[in-house]
Amino acid sequence: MIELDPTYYLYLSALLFSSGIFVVISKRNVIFVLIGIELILNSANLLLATFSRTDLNGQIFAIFSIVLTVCEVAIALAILLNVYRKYHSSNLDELNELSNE
Amino acid sequence: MSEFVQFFFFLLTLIGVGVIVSTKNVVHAAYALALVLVSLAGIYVLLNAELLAIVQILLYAGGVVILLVFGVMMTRRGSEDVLVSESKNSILALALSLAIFSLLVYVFSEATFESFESTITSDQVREIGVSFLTNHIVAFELIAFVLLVALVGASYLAKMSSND
Repeated sequence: MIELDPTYYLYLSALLFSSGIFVVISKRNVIFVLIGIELILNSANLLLATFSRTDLNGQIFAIFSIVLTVCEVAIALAILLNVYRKYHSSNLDELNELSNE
Repeated sequence: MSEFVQFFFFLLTLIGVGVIVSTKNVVHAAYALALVLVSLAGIYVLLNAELLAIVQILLYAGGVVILLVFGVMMTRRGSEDVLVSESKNSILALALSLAIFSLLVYVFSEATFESFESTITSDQVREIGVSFLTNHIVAFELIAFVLLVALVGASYLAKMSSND
């Protein structure tokens, strides 16, 4: 098969991870934060695929992690529907019933 | 030729990530996420991981992005045309993510890796299927059960919110 320099894939994975961190910290919408988490999980999957070129176990692990991500997103959106019915907002800063304000 | 294809998919991924980071519109971010996921599937094909690429397109680009767009549709306020997300702590987040990025790039550039020539045969889909049912049978059955429970729980939670 084609021989490619692995370090570029590692740099791409680092970029995906750090921009996921940026999105999770700075954006205030729940769905945006979920998108950031997807980016972080994809950077991990890219690393797994990069290092599984001589062994299939990395690919199998990545497939399991994709299935777990689907579970996570389905449950997160079901919770978000309930939260939205109560607060009429999907902004993280307005979900503050437990605080003193 | 393969370098051109590699460059193309890298560029698509970078464009998608740039749109996600810079946009305020949640729907645009969800579509840019779809672009990132599809181009990552292309990169998986380049990395000789075809089954992973197919699963990525089926589950991520087909499932997760649709779910996210449905989430946007259901949580839109009536008065707004588009769902817009505020940004807060942008400078702190930029500093932190730049620090993490430079740390990771430093670590990756210092490390040396052995030869990356792929030794996987062309029949890898069959091999993965066989190992799902032999070596990884417990993990495979467990993850099937987790997926079933998560989907039933998610539909129960969503139904609860509509009944009330």
